[in-house]
Amino acid sequence: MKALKNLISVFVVVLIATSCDKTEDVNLSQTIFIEDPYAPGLPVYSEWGYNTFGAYIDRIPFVSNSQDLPLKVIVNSDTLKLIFQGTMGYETVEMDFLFKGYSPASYAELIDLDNTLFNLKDESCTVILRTGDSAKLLNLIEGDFQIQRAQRLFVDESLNRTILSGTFRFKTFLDGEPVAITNGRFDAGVGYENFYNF
Amino acid sequence: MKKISFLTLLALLSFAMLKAQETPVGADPAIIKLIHFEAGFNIPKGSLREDVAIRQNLNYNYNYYNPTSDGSVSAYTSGVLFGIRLEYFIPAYHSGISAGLRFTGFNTEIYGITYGSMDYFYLRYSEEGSDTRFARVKSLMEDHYVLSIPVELRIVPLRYNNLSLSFKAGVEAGILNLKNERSIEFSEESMNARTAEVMAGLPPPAGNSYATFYTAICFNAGWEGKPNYSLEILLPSAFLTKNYFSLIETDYFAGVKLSMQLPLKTSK
Repeated sequence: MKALKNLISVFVVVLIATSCDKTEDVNLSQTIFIEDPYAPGLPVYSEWGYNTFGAYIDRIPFVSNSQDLPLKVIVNSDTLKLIFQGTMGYETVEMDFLFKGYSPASYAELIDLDNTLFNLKDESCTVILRTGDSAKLLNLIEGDFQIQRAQRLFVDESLNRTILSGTFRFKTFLDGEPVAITNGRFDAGVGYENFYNF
Repeated sequence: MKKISFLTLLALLSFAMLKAQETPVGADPAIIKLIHFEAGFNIPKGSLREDVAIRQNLNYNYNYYNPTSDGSVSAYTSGVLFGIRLEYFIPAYHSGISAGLRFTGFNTEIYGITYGSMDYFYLRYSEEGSDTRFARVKSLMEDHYVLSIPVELRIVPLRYNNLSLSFKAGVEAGILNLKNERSIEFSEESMNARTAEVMAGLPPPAGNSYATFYTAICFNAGWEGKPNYSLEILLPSAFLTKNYFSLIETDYFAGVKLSMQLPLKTSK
């Protein structure tokens, strides 16, 4: 009888939790992929917070998908880490950009990065490429990463998230061969679910 | 536009190929006065204007197991019309010219494709510094009511007993705007207090100039000298004033009309 009561309590709690209208954030947290007609396979550059990113690694598109969180922002000590996770062909690939000297306390403070250009060859910048179980610290030839727009998004007058939109491109070596990452673009919302400061 | 020009040319060529009936020596061709009562639908086709700042919604097919979406927010415009025209029809030339008064009412609605319990879209109404503001909007509507004067040229190249086929070309100019209004329905009632601020983020209201050019194919039934009934298929036609709608860009309009023609008087 006690077990039944506990089960009913758990059921009620779950029912209440799931009956809350969480679909209101679905549109803002999911991916809306509108293909760029001038860059087939990549999402169009936007500043709407469509939660997409894409780039060509040589000719192969590396893009966000709808299952994985396209962007995670991690602030640890004085380093800001932007983790882009997506697919290249059938493979899951992660590209991390680390910037020393930036440590926003909350996602709202990310607007300080508005119109900021990073020279990826600089000592304060690091790029890591993860495929499968391997993680490669990339030796860059040249490149830049620009946050063209950082905006705080209010929905019905309540702060909802910060949208980071921008572009990137760089040249590096992969397996001893020079490779170009071109037409890089991103447009992602950063909120409670993907901002970490520890 | 090429289609419209071709159809107009076809209509005019039909007229040029008609020959006047032989009339008795000394007799003038008859002119029949007809009064037309018409009603119908006018459906503009177009797309959402790019300067209406709407964030695309998830496609309605979205679900966890089919997580693909390229976004979908739609605009739909429809119109109804009622009118009355006086036509001078010359049987010898199988053609007539008419003018009259017409009321047309257009309604444009923008709505988001629903997903689950979500029946709204996000409208951006403010960008100040680093702050961007969206409102959850259920629908955005624009209504236009206009009184216009249509002038039409009709040609009847084919008649068999009490059935006939005719072609028509016309222009229409608005003389009085009865209504030009936009309205918004928010998902959250608390946003009603900000209606003016949100509406200010939309493109400027539409202009009041209204003019169209149209062609139609008409299927008529009725004997000469008796009431006739017509079904008109409006062929893809053009708005001559480009900014009549503030929420959509129109490509063309088409529609269907029913009309009744009553003969008034035959003059010789």
